[in-house]
Amino acid sequence: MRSQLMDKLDHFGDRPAVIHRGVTHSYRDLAGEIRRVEERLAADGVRPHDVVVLNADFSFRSIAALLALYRNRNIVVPVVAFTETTLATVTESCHPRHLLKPDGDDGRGGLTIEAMSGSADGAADAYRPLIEAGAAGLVLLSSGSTGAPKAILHNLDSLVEEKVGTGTRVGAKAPNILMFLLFDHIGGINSLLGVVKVGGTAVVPERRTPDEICSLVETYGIRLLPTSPTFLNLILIGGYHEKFDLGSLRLITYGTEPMPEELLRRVHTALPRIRLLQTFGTSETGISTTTSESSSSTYFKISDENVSYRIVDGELQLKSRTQFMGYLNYPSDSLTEDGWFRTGDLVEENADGYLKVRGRAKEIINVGGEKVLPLELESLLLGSPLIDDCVVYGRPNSITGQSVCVDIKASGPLSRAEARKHVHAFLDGKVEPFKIPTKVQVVEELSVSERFKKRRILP
Amino acid sequence: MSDRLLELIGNVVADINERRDEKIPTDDLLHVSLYGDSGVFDSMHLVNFLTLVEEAIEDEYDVEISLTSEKAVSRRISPFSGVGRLIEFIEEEMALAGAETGHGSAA
Repeated sequence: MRSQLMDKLDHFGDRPAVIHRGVTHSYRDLAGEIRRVEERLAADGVRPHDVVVLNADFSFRSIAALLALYRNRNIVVPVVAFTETTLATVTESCHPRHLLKPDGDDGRGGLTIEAMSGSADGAADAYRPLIEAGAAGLVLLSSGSTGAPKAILHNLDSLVEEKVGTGTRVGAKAPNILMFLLFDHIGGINSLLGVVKVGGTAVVPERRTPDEICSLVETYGIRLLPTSPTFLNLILIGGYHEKFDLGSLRLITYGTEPMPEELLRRVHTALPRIRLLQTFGTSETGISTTTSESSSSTYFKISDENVSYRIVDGELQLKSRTQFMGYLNYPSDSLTEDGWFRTGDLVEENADGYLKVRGRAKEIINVGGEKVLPLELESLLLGSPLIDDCVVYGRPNSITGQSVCVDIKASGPLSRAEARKHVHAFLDGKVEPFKIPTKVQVVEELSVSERFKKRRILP
Repeated sequence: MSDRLLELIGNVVADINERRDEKIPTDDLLHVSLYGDSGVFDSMHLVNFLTLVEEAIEDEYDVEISLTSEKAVSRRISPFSGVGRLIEFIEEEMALAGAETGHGSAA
């Protein structure tokens, strides 16, 4: 597979592989850069199965570095931006030996490799199966809302085999994809491997703002935009789909958080000619191939030979060939005894076997024993012309356990009292009384994570 | 201060009465029981009511207090047994909040 990857890149030759900062790099350039990095790895004593932290976002050089580390059978820990907690997790749990910065310290210089302090000796038993199989590894850090991120170990050989494959089949017009999802996120890795599979072009954004993304779509005639519901809403609210020509887009995929039905309706109405597809995946099981019932439906099917699913007590459980090998710093209690991964997503299945995500199990609000799912209310509230976006969450109290709260980004001037009256009137008769938010706050901006998920205050 | 608080609570009750079939009597508000055997609210409506009072206090006095805390619930004499008791509790909490932010003299 290692040499087959290079054969593939050589085969694609002059096709554009990566467009970054206005410069187009061909597959031939990419192969050349990978070989150059490999020479550096050898010269700097980076041995197979060493753990290497790859500190970068998507760039021509970081993509080459990732593929070179794969070829060198390293265990790669991609980290876009270090925080105190991610640095602690990496040094304490991942046993790193090297820190590789493909774009130098200023993001524009050459590749640097430094020794990394951490408990490098007695490398975790977790890596042993990889070493025995002669495989490369990938460690993804979860974006947990609380506590230290989980360090999720994958067999990188399995991922590459599954997502890139061995063939050199290419469509007449290989797609170009905007690398919206992050380099250290399963969705970003999936996008990248998808590009390499078909000889497509990865267009790398400098900043992930709605105007930059829409401007890149216009400039490069992007056909595929993988994104998140929250980001799509930011595009709509700002009217960026009208300021830029998005006519080249054939497909927008959305994932990483549940899509409110009402928002999907807004997106479909604003961009009627673009196919909208829900993706589904987890850092632990990888991204599954999915089919949406239609562009205006939040029902989807997991149509992936690699993935089986089942629903237990309303929760979706997955088993995939590219399943993670374990956590480096947590017990594997998200796995059932028979090896299914508990996604924490509550789903319902319709008569035709399509699934719909109802929300996250841990986001359920418990009001005196009655259960409220934020997504249901958010979806309804987005139907109000006065509300641009909103987030629903539980607030603890000592009388009913929790009460329902909503933060609203209003489309125009709205006082707290007006917002509360409007929310109550708007939801009256649409939901059971216990679901009607007790507290309504008007906010300037909703808090959005670096992965463009809404931040929900959890109980 | 308690007259101001009584008026504030009266306004919240008037607001709630607008959307309520069985009106809460307002002629002797001080002695209206909020929760329990003769109370006008069930637990969920009590939380709604208290949240509105919290917000009104925040708007009026620019101080944030909690009326649904463990402290409120575990009082021997419940602040929810009557509006008068609730006002006493609010005054205590406001004094504490003032002391913490350095505006009041109560310790």
